[in-house]
Amino acid sequence: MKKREKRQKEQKNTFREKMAESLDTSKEVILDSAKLTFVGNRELVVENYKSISEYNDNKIIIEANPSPISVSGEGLTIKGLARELLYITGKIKALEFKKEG
Amino acid sequence: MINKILAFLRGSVILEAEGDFLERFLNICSNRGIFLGDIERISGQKIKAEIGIKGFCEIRPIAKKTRTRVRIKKRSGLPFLLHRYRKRRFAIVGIAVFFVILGYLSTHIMGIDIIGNQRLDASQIESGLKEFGVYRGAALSSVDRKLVQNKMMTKFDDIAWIGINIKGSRVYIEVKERLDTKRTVDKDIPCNLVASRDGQIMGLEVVSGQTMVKMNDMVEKGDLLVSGAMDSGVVGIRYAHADGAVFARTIYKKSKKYPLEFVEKNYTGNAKKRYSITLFGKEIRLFLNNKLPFEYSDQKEEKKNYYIISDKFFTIGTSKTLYSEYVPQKKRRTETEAASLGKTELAHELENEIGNKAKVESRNFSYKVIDKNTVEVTAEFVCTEDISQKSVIDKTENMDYN
Repeated sequence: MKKREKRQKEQKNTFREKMAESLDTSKEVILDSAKLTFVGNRELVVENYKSISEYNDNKIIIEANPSPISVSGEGLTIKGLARELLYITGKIKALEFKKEG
Repeated sequence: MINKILAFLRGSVILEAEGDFLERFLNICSNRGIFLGDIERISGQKIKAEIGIKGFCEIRPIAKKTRTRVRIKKRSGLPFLLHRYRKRRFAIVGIAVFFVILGYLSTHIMGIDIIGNQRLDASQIESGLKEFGVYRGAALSSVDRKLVQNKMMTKFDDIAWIGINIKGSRVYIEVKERLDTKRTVDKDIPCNLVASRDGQIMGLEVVSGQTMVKMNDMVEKGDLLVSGAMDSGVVGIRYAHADGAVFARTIYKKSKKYPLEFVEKNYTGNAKKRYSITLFGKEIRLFLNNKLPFEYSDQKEEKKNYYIISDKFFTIGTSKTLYSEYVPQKKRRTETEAASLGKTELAHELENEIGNKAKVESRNFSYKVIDKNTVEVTAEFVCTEDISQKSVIDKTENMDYN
């Protein structure tokens, strides 16, 4: 049952992906996934995130689609926090997409 | 830059939030559309963030929900400034007065510059302009340039064209005068030709009208030369527009007395400069000694003016006076020396007076000793020129030209 669900979901994603490709529109809108923009290792803009689940100087964990994002580094500050936009500055060392669940 | 100005106008607060569920607090804030900036974690349970005033008003229920204590660290922006200075009423009044004055000065005429007028007096033009609503202190918006232009051109015959340019709060009037000053009489108005100067008639080129003089006649100023009233003897007097040119030999004469004793200036080379400043029509001396620096000296003044708003009152001027010392020496010249000096001086003066209006035929100079110390030099120029001048016939008068 679980497996089937998962497969369905994957299929759904691929279908959406195909649709996005054929329609030639931005994928993050169709797939409802986060869009990350780096400026070197100093700035990171996360669009379309869900929420912040952990925040301190060295680590920020952001809930987003399709999987939570973990940003680690030194002296991380959130320069801007709006509904759909998260603007992080600091010395970013690593970024990880965590497994779901 | 614009964002910073807007942020300043809106005002913002730097706050410190303390609690166990800070992430939740942040998430709720962002979900409700409250923008947070410069979030920094100070310690494990404390963060610092910047928030707009509007957002800060909505933060209280969120803080309660997430059990976060919120404290204001710093206020910045215009709303707080205004709040702080709300009791300084006169400062606010001053600011208001400043803007009112600024508004007044930039929407009203603060100066009129007239350029291009040669014969017309600037004050004459100014008074004309005043009549049509262009004067110092008049509202700029009430100046209708086309209307003023037309009215000025009809009021002043001598103005061929007038330009009115408004730059800031100054009005620049550019005047072009008519080339011909001689008021010509319309072709259909009957007129006579009269003499404008004494002289002897040398040539007649009458186009219309009845000639009243002969060649070699001596005429005086105002004498009738060509009559516009023609009596045919049958139908009575017919009036016509006399036209033509009457050339006459005229004499221009000038004499001047020259003393034989005169003072020559021997410059010693010593010179002194003195400066002064003119502020708002008052002269301020920049020197202490009021006496003249030398017993005998020539003074040469150089003035410079800087305009602020208008040309009269708001003027800053500097002036530099140069005193050059000389030693006076009494000298005597001979009669012929005085005569030759007078000759050159008078010839120059007469030539300036005659200019283009007449052709100089011959120049005569003579001098005569009046007493021991003076010589009178006389210059006499004989010229030929057109002495005809039109004068309109007043028909109400029954004139007899014979």
